[in-house]
Formats: sequence, C-alpha cells, structure tokens
Amino acid sequence: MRTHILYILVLACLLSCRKDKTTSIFGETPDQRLEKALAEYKSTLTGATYGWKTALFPRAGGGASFFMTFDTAGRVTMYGDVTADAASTPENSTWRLKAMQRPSLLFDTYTYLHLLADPDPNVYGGVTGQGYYVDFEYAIDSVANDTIKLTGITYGTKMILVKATKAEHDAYTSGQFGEQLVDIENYIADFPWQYLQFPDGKKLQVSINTATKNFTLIYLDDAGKVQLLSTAFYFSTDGLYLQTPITYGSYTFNEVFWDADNQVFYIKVNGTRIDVQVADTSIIPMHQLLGVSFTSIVVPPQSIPGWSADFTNMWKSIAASLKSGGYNLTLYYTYFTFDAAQQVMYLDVYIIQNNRLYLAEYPYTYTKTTAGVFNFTEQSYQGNAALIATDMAPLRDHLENDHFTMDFFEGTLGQLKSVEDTGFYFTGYLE
Amino acid sequence: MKYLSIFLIMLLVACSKTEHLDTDLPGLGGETWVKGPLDFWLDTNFVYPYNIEVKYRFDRYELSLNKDLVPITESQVTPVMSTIAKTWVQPYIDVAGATFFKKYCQKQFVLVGSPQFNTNNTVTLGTAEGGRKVVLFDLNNFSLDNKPGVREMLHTIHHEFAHILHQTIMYPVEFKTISTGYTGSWNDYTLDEALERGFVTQYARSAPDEDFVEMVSTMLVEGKDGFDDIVASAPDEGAAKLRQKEEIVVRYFKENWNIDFYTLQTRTQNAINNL
Repeated sequence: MRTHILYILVLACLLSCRKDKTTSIFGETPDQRLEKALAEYKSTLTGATYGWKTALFPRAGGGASFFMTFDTAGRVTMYGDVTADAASTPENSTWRLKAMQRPSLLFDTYTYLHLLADPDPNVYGGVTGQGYYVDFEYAIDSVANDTIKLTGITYGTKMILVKATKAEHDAYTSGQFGEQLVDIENYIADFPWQYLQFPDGKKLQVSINTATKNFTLIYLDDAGKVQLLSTAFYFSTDGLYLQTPITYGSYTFNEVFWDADNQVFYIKVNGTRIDVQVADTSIIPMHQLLGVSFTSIVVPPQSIPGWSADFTNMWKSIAASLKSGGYNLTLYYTYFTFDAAQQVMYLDVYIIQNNRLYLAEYPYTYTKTTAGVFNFTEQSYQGNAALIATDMAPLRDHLENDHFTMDFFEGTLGQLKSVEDTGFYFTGYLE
Repeated sequence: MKYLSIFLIMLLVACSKTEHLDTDLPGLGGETWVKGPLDFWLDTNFVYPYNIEVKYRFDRYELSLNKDLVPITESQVTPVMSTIAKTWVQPYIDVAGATFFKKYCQKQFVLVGSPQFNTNNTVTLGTAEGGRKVVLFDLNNFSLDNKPGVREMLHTIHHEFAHILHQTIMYPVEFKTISTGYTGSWNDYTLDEALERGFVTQYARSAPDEDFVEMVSTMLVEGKDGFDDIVASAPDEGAAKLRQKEEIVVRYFKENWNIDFYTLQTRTQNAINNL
C-alpha cells in the first residue's frame, strides 16, 4: 500500500509542473489592447481635419450643439450654441483619454460644454446641485468612419461626434455662425408672428423659443381646437435642427433652414422650399392661446403702452384709495390668471404693507364665445379681498358688467378691451 | 531513508517558472499628458520647492462620487495658486521656516470649479483629508477684485492647515470648555447667536476642533484689526470668551511650534492687502 502511495506522490510531482498555456483569443493581453485602443482613439480624434460637431438634448428639454477640434497636445477648441459668446468666441481648454472602466474621453478643464453640467444655478440655470444632467466625461462606445459614439459616465448622456465638413468648420471659425445666431435672435424679436402655409391652405403659427430651444407649430384643427406640434432644437450652421421630425398631414420636415441672404426661415418638404412668412398679428386668436402660450396677463402698478386714459386714471385712484384706506397698502402687480380648462379667471391683486407682500384674490367664472368674447361672473371671496373690495370696486364693476375681448399688443403684451365701454382697455405682460 | 529518494525527485521536478512581467499597463505611474506652460509653472512653484501636487485637471475619483461637480477654468488656476503661495506658503515659511512648512503642508491640492451643494442647504467650499489632501471648490468664481471671496478661500486653506497642526499636537483641552452649545446643526443659528456664546463664526459652533481652527484662520485672514472688530461686535460675555480663546491659540503656537502668532498674523495680512 505504501509503495502505491509513494508512486502516486512521485507521479503527482512529475505532473505538477506544467506551464499554464493559456493564450488570449485576441492574440494580445488586455493591457496591450487597451493601449492600442487609446492610441487609435487619440489619432481619430486629433486626425479630423475639420474638427467634430455634436448635439445634445438635455432631459429637461431644449437642445445644444457644439463644434470642437482636438489637437495632439491635449487641447480642445470649442464653440457652442449655448450662449452668444459660445457661438462666436472659441474656448480653449484641455482634454485627455483615460483608461477607466472603458476607454474614456474626459473634458477635464472648464469649457462651454460644462455649462450644461454646472451645479451652480447662477452660472447657466439648471437644477441646483445637478445642472442639466449632462456629462463631460464620456466612455467611448464605438468608432466608425466619420462618427464616434460615446456614453456619459455619470448620467449616460448620449453623445455622437460627427466629423465636420470644411464649410461647417469655416462657418464657426470665421465668426459667421456667431453672426447668424445674432441675426436669428433679432429677426424673431422684430417679427414675433410668423407662420407656415402648406399647400392645403392651413396657416400654422411658428413659435421659436430661443431661450428654451423649443420649436412649436400652433394651428386650429377642423374642429376649431388648438393643436401643437412641438420639439426641441439646436442651432446648426444651416439654421435650426429639430430633435424629432415634425409631421403635419403628409408633410414632414426636421430642419428649419435660415436663408442668410434674404434673412428668412424656410423648410423643405419633398424637395420644395416653403418659406416661413411674417404676419402682423398672431395667426391663432389670442383667446385660443390661453393655457397654451400663456396663462396670465400681468398688469403693473405704473402705466405701460396700451392703457386707455380711463383705465390709467382709474388705476391711479385705486392705488391712492388703497394707500389712504386704513391699511396703508401699496398697489403692486395684478395678475389676471386664467384656468382655461375650468373656465375660471383669478383676479390676483398683490399689495404691499410694511414691506410684506399680500394677496387679495377675486375668483371669476367666465364664458367665452367662439369669437373670443369673455363674460366674467364674480364669485365669493374672503380675507384680504373682502378688506379692499370697495377700493377695487371700479375694476370689479367693469369685469362684472362688461364683456371683454383680448388681443396681442405690440407683439408681447396682452390687451383686454371692454366691449361696451370703448374707452376702457388695458395691457399687461404675458406669463 | 527510503523517503530521501522521493524528496530528491520532488526537488528535481519542483517548478521554477520565471516569467518576465513586461506589459505596459496604461496609467501605471500616474497619468501623463503633454505639459503646457501651466504645468511647468506649477512644477516650478509647487512641485519642486514643496513637493505639492496641484491637480487642476478633473479627476472624478478625488472627489465625492455622489456630488455633481465641474472642473476649474484653466485661466483661474494661476491666480488661485499664486494667491495661496503669497498668503499661506510664504508667511508660514517666513515665520516658521521652510522645513516646518514642507513637513506639515498638505501634499495635494485638488481644484474644483463649482461649489459642492449639500443636502442640508449648505455649500462646501473646501475639504481636507488626513493632512494630505485639500480640495478647494467654487474656484471659477474666484476673482482678485472680490476681496471677501479671496478671504473666504484663504480662510479655508488656513482652516485646513490648522487642523493638521492640532492633529499633530493637540491644543490645550481647556479650550473646549470655554464655550458651550456645540451642535451639528450650526447652520440653523445666526452669527449673532454664535458670537454671544463666544464662537468666532457660525461654523466654529459645530465642534471644538472646528472652533479652534476657525479661531486660527479668522485671526490670520482677517488680521488683528479685523479680529478686534469681530470681538467688539460681540456682547461682553462672548467677547471675553473670544479673548480667552485667542490667548490659548497664541500660547499654543508659541509653546508647541515656536511660532510668534502675531507676527504670522501681520505677515499674512500684509500679503493679503498687497494682492
């Protein structure tokens, strides 16, 4: 027995020393492959003659575009559409590739891209402590010909870098892109009412919000109801690029081009160019945009354009009456806030006493004809509203007894006009 | 005896594998990049003289993983670091000597562009860890024109350095009994309430250690005049406690580090005023 064991032991010893012959199916070690990948990514990034462009759509809405060139010394020059400065002035900062869980591209010093990631709301808005939930450190997914696909490490932001053309590169570096953005902003400010008219004759109001980067088409369907087609956009060298294509009937488009020579917007549907036209006033009647484009008309304590003499005098005497009444109140802003679904209008009068703000609320139910004539009926009120009801009587009487229409005034103000008393009308800011 | 042959055979076939490990591990030895003028400036002013590393390029893993932070703007690095050199490095070296400074200074500065937002509605401006690393936040808002902002950042640096000093040699325990009312919710109380109790700042109220370093950093960064103003603004009882604490701080620096605190205070103030 002992000999058997001994022989087994000897055999075990003889067989124990076998070199581990495992070879990688890739032919190289993981570290070699990693080094190779990093070197490849570096040469791809720095090798694009005209740089790279990309666009991001933050989860809260809107879009942002960036143009960047990477050099071999680890520096990146970037433009963006996030601010007017970003569009015209290049920012030079650093980048590096790092082998993290996956080979990653890190924008490791501050540049325009970080505006979307900055947790300090004083810098570019966004959620305190979070920014816009956009990454500045990206893991590289894949490289193919002219595109690099990346995924953000913290938030999973999807970034696709596409090689820019010479024309795009030049548009940024020559300052033309920056100028275009200024032109577009001015154009929209000068002409707030624009529309698209398709071959079926329907006019669709075009609303471009450059602050929230949202593009909306507003129109009235056959039943007379307000319909919205809305999507986020970013500025490209050609104009606006929409996040999702907009489809109206059989027409689809995903870009709104800017004609710099003629200073006008246009779209292309089935190869045909359709210009966005300018109108004097809103295509959709203002009363139908209640709850769509705005919910309140805000009347300031001091007069603004669009107030009739009667209203101005009345407002002054109400302010005086509030001051000299026993409570020593200063008239602040007055909100006419509409709940279109419930057909209720809240007359919210804000007053100041001893540097503290108070609210007196008068609820009104209302009916509205298809032509947009409002008929208000006062409901019961209490608290501060009851205390200043007499001071506010001149306004409340008009609201109760008159019919009203509403219209846009000078593009951005809303005007309420009494039907019965043509000398009584006033304007307010739209919120 | 008969086992000897077995052992001999075992010895013969014992494995001897020699393998050379010659793979290039990416990132082994630290990250490298093409050095630019800023890197050379940092080498000359921080790395070579004091062996201090200044990490201005964002490194996620030097910071809290559950906080959203953004990198510093490159052009802010030199103003920030040269301010630190003039108002922290130089005064201590002048008064306590280069060896002292090199021995106790933090070896790593991590620079962050944004503030760090906390869930209790406070913002973190700086942290220090183990006497080795200092993280400075909100540096994108740093501006030499904004003297109060500059003082705030320097306050953080001096605050963190003072922690290293008292963690090396503890301050007299009687310091802890001068004021009462240390609490973790220090930010729920006003500055006046803090001064009443003899706390030089609201944060000093959070713990005796913080109280000590807040005293040190406030006295250094605000200077003699500034500190005297603070004491004057406190009610008598609080003012008396502040003076008591001041006395302990001065004594501590002299007895344990052979530093004349008032000279250090003057040097620091002059440096700040000459920025």
